[in-house]
Amino acid sequence: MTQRERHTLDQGTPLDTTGAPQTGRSAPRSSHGAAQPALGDVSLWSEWYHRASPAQQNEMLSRASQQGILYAHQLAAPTHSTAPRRTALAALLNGHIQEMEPLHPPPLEYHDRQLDRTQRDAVDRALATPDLCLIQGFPGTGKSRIIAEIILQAAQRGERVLFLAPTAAALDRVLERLGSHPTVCPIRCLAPDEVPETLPACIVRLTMAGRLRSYQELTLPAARAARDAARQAYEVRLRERSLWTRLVEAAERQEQLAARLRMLTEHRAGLGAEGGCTDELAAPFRAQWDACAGARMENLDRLESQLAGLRAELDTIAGKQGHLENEWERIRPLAEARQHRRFWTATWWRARMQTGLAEQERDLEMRRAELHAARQRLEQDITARLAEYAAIEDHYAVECRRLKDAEIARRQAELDAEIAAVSREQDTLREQWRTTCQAFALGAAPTEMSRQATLAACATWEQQRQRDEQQAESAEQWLQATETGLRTAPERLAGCANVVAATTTTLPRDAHFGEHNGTPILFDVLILDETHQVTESEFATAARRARRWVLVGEPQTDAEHPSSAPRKAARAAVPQPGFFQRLWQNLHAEPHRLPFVWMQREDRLVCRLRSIPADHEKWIESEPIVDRPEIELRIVAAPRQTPQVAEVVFPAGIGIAEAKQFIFHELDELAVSTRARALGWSETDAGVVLEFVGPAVESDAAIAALEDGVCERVVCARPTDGIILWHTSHLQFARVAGWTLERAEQWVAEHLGLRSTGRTVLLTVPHRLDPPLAHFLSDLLFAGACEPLVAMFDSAGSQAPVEFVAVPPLASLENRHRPDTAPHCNGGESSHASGERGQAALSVRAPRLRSVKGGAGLEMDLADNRPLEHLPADLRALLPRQGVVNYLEARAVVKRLETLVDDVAFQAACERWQQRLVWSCEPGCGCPRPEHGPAIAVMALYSAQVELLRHLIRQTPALTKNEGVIEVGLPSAFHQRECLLACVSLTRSHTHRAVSYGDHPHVLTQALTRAASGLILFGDPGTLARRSQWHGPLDHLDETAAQGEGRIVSRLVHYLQGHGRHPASFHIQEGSGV
Amino acid sequence: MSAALAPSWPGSRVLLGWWRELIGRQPQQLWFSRLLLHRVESLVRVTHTRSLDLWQRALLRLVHARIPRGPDPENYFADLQIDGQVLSQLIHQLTAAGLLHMNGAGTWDVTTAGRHALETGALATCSEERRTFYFVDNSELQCTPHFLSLRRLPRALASAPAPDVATWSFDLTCLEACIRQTSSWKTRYHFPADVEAFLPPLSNEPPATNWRRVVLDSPEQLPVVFLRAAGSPGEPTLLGFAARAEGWELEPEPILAFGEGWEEVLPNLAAEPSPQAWREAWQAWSAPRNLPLAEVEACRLERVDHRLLVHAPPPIIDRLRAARSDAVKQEAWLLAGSDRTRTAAQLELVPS
Repeated sequence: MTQRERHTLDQGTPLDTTGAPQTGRSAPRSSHGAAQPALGDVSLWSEWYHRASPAQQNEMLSRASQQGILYAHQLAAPTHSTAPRRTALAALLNGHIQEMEPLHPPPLEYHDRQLDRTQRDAVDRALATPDLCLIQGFPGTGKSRIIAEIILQAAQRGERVLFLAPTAAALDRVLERLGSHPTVCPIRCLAPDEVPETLPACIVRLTMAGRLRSYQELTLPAARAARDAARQAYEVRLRERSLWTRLVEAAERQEQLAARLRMLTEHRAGLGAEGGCTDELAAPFRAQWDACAGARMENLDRLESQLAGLRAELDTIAGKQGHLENEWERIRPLAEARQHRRFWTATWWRARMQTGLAEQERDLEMRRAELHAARQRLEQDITARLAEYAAIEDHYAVECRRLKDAEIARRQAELDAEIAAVSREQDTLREQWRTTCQAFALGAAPTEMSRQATLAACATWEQQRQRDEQQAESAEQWLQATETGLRTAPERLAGCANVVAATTTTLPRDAHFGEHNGTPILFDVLILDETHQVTESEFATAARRARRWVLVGEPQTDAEHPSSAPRKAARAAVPQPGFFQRLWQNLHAEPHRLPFVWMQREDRLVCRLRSIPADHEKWIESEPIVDRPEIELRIVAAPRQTPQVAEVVFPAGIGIAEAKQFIFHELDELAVSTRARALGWSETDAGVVLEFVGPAVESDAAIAALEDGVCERVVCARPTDGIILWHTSHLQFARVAGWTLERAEQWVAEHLGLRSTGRTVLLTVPHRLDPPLAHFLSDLLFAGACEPLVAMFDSAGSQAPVEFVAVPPLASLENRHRPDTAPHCNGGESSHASGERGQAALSVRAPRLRSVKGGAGLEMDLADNRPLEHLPADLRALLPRQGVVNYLEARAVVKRLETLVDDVAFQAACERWQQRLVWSCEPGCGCPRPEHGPAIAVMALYSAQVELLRHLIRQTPALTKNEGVIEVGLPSAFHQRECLLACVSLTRSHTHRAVSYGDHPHVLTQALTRAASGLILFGDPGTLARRSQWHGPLDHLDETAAQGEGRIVSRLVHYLQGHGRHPASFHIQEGSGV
Repeated sequence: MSAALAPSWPGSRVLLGWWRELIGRQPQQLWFSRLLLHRVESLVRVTHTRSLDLWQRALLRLVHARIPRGPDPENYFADLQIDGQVLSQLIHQLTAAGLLHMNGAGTWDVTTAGRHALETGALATCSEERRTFYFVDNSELQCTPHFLSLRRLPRALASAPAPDVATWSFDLTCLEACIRQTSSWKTRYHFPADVEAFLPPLSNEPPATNWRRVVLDSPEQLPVVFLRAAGSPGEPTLLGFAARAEGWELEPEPILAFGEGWEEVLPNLAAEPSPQAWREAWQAWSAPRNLPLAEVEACRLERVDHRLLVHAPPPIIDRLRAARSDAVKQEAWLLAGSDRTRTAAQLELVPS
C-alpha cells in the first residue's frame, strides 16, 4: 500500500523502510471507541523484527510457522538496540552494508524515451530500491531529467513523492519538466521569502496559492456556470412538459383529419361509380328522380294496357285466322283440284259435286284478307306502342343520367369543399406542430406528426428530463461542494497532491506539509536533489517523512577530494566529505580504485599489484621466481617494513591472457585493472556478465580463463605517454558451469572486495556540454571522471572551446617580471570569429604563462576611500559602495562581447540557440525551456563587478542591440540553467598576495559549468599563478574550501602554462585589446 | 525463567483511600486484582467505513449524472474548469476505491459500490492490519482466556514476570472465536466490530510478506481495582481502575467497564471468598494488633454488602478502642482470597 492510498483511504499505519508500521503512531481508530486506543500502541513484533538480524528473523519466522504463535519470552534480544531508522542511516554512513541485498531491477516503460542506458538504469534502481538509492551525476548529465522520470513513474504507481532540494531552482527545473502531466499533481511549497510574481507562470500554478487561485477564479465560477446551465436546461425541460399535451392532441387530431380526408377522398372517388350516388340521395334530387320515374311508370303503364288490348285483339284475329285456316285446309284440296282441273282425281269430282264450293272459297278468301288486314293493323299498333315504350325508357335513362350527373357534380363540389377544409385544418395543425416543436431543445421533438411517434419522443424526453434533473442536482451539489470546500480546499488539495516539492528549509515550516501541526504527512519516496549541498541533519529531518530515499547530487570535484590534496596540505586535517559522499563511498563499488595496473613496458608485460610511492622506488628489488625464472618479481623492501611484491614482470612472448592466469593461480589475485567507475551486472542465456562500466576503449581484446566457467575479457587501451595499458572490460561467468548471479557476485566480492548493492548510479555522460568542453571541464574540475563516452575530439581544424583572455596580457606580465621575454599578443582577435587563424597562432607561437610572481593589481575595492584612478567617475556613482571590481577586465569582457556579436558564425549559432527556446511547458504558458538560459551568459564572481559589467554593456550600442542574447549576473543567477557561451570575469587581480575567487569554490565551479559549447575566462594570470601557490586557509575560506579552490586554480594555471591534459581545448587570448 | 517476586497487596489505609476516592461512583463492592493479560499481536483483516469526501461525492454524482463523452477526465469535465492534475487525482482516488471504473467503451461508469456509496454517503474498504488484542488469563480457574477491552493504554501496564514456559500458552482459537462471535456479543464485550478475519502465517509465503502474519503473545500484568457500582440500567456495573504499584495511585478514569456478563470475563471476581478465607483475613488483620488469638477465633464473621461484620466480644472492642484502631471508626479494610484477585471488605465491629 502506498502512502497515497493510505492517505486517501485513511487506513493503515505508516510503514517504516521495510514496510513495518512506524513506531509511536496510532493505528486507525475504529468507530468502536472502546478497544482501539489501547490497540494502537507499539507493535512489539514489528519493532523486534526490524532490529533483529536476518538470522534472528529467520529463526523466529521458522518457529512461528512451527508453533503457530510466538511468545515474547522466545524473542532473543535484537541485534540493534537503538531506533531502527536512525540505526539504518548510521549504519549506512558507517559502511555497514553487508545486510543489503543487491538490487537487480527490471527495466520499465519510460515516459522519456530519450533517456540513455545509464539514465534508465538510474530510474529503475530508484524505483526498485526498498530503502536507498544514490544517483551521482556531473553537471549536465541529466539528473533533473531522471528525477522527472522517477517522479512520473512513482506517481504512476500511486506513490506519494516528496521532492526536496536545497534550492528552488532545482525544484523548478524538474517541475517544469513535469508540466501538466496528468499522472502527477505536484504542489510547490513556497519559501517565506519567495515572491510568486518572480516565478514562471507554470511554477506559480503549482503552488498552493496558485492552485487555490485557480480554484477560486476558474473552478468556482465554472461550477456556478455549470449549475446555472444545468438548472436552465432543466427549467427548459420543465417548460417543455406542457407542450407534449398539445403535441399529443395535435397528433391525434391530425390522425383524425387524415382519416377523414382519406375517407372523403375515397368517397369522392366512389361518386362516379355506378350506383354510387343512390345511397345517399339529396331531397331535390330524389324528387326529380321520383318524378321522372313516376312519369315513366305512368307512360309505361298506359302503353302496357294498350299493348295488352292490342295483343288481345291480335290473339282474337289470330284465332279467327286459325279457324279460317282450318276451314281452308278442309276445302283446300277440293279447291286446288278444281282450280287445277285435275279431273282425273276424285277430288275434282267431289268438288264438282259439292255445291257452293266456289262461294265458300271466295268467302274464305275474303275473310282471310280481312283478318290479315286487321292483323297487320294490330301489329303495327303494337310495334308503335313498343317503340313508344322504348322511347319512354330511353327518355327515362337519359333523364336519370342527367339527374345523376347533376347530383354527382353537386356532391363532388360538396366533398371538395370538405376536403379543402380538412386540408386547411391539417395545414394549420402542421404549422402549430412546427411551432411547438421549435420550442423543444434540439433533438427532443418527435420525428413525425403521429401519436405513436409523439408518445415515443415524449418517453425519450422524459428520460432526458430525468437526466437533466439529475444533472441539475449534481451540478448544484458540485457547486455546494466547491463553495463549501473553499475553506478546506488547501487540505483537500494537499490530499490530492502526490508530489510535494519544497526546499529542505521550507518543508518543515510549510503550512500544509510541514511538521509543526500534528502528524506530518508521510510519503512513499523522498527524492532529494542537489544532495551534495545538504547536511546530514537536514537529510535526517527529511528522511523521517518517507519510506524510501533517492538522493541525487553531484560528485565531489577533484578539488574537494581529500586524496588529491597537495602534499603541503596533507599535513592539515583531511577534509571530511559530506554525508552524501560518505554514503556514496560506502555504497558504491568503485573498480577504478583497484590498485592493479597492467602495462606493456619495453615488450614486457608488467602487472603492478600495488602503487609504489615515489620515495619507495629506491627500495625495489628484482627477484626471479624459482620455478619460472623468466618471470621477475619486483619487491618493495623498505626498511622496517614487510617486503611486498609490487610488480610482476613477464618476459616478452607471454601474452596478457597467460599472464592473467599466472597472477590469478599463482598469486591468488584477481588483478583487474580498469578505469570503470561502476559495476554493471547483467544476465544472459549463456551466463552472468560483469561489465566494468567506464570510458570506452578501442583495441583488441583477449580472453583469460581464470577458473571453471570464469573468463576475464581484457582490452588494450590507447597508448598514453608511450605506455600500453590493459584494462579488464568484462568478467564472464558461464551458466553451464553452475554460475548464478548470486554466486558470481559473491565470487567478485571475495576476489576484488567489490560488492555492488545496486543502489548507486553514476552519470558520466555530459549531455549538456559539447564533448571538447566536457573533456576540459572534466579534467579541470573532476580529474577526468566526467568523460563523455566519445573519443576526444580531433583538434585539427576546430577551435578550442575554452578561451582565456589575459588581463593584463601575458606579455606585459612577463615583461614586468622577465624583461627578456618577448611579448606574444595577437591583438585581441576573436578565436571564435577566426578559429583557423587562432589555431595557427596557437600552433605557431601559443602564448603561455611562465614564471610570474604576482598579479597586476587591477582590482579595486569600492569600499576603499581612496580615489579609484582607473574607474571613471560616472561609473563609480552607479556602483555599490563596497565590493571588488576590475574595470580593465570588465572592459575586456565588453570588447570581447562586441567582437562576438559581430561574428556572423556566432550569430548563426545564437539563432539556433534561440530557436531551441521555442517551447512551452503547457498551452498558454510562456515559460522558456527550463534548462535554457541566454545565448551568452556573462558572469562575474562578485556582485559589484556584475553591476559594472551591466553598466558597461548598457553603454555599448552594439551590445544593447543584442539585449536578449546577453544576460549578466552572478553564477547563482544561472543555477540550473545553461547558456551557449559563458564569459566569466574572475575579477581578482592583486599585486602580490594570493586571493580567493568568489565566496566558495562552488561558485567558480558553477560559473565554469554553465556553458554548453564555449567558455571564455577573463582573469589576471599572475594572480591565478599566485593563488595556485598558496595552500592554506585564505580570506573567508576555511582550509577545506581554500584547498578546493586552490586545486581548481592550479589546474587552470597548468593550462595557462601549457601543461593541461587537453591542450587543444584551451586557447589563451593574449590580451584583450583594451 | 526467573522466579516471580512475591507481590505486595494494598493495606487497609490504601483500601480506605480507594473507597473514599470512588465514593462518588456509589460503590457496592471492591476488589483488587493483579490481572494477567495475554497481549496478542496479529494480522487481521478489518473493514473501515468512512464518509465520502465532499469533492469525491460531488464528483461521483457528476459522473453518475453525466452523459459519457469520453474517457479523458479533462475533456469529460472540461466545463468544470477544475485543474486537470487535481481532477486526475480525484478520479484516481475514486477508481482506486472501486467507485468508478472505465467500461469497455472507454467511458467512466459508477460501479455498484459507487452507487451504494452515493446512496449511503459512506465507503467501506478492507485492509490488513496488525492489531493488538488483550485477553485476561483465567487459567487459575481452568477457564479459557477472555477478551478484555481496555479503554486506553494504562500507564501502569507492565511486563509480567516471565511465565512458566511449560504452562504459558495462548490458544489462537480464542481470538478466532471472538471474531466469529455475534455482533451483540462484540458490543457487550467491546470487541472491535471492524475486525473481520484473523490472518495466520502462511506456509508458502516468503518472509518478506509473511513476517507481518506472525502472532506474538506477550504476558502483561495489570493491577486493577474493580468496583461494582449501583449504576442505573444501561450503565456499566463493574468498573476497573488501573492502580500503580508504586504508591497505589489510581488512575482517574476507568480502563475497564462492564455491563452485564462481566462474570464471564472475570469469573474469579464473581466467586465470593470462602468464610475460611475471610476468617484468615480477619486473623491476619488481628495478628499485628496483638489481639488474643482465642478471642479472635471466637468472633463470628458475617458478610453484608461491602462490609465484614465481626461479632466480637467486648474485650476485643475495648482493646481496639483503647488502641484507637481504625476498626472502631469503621475505617479498617481487609482483603480476602489467595489468588490474583482478592475481595475487599470494610471491617465493622459488632459487640457480640
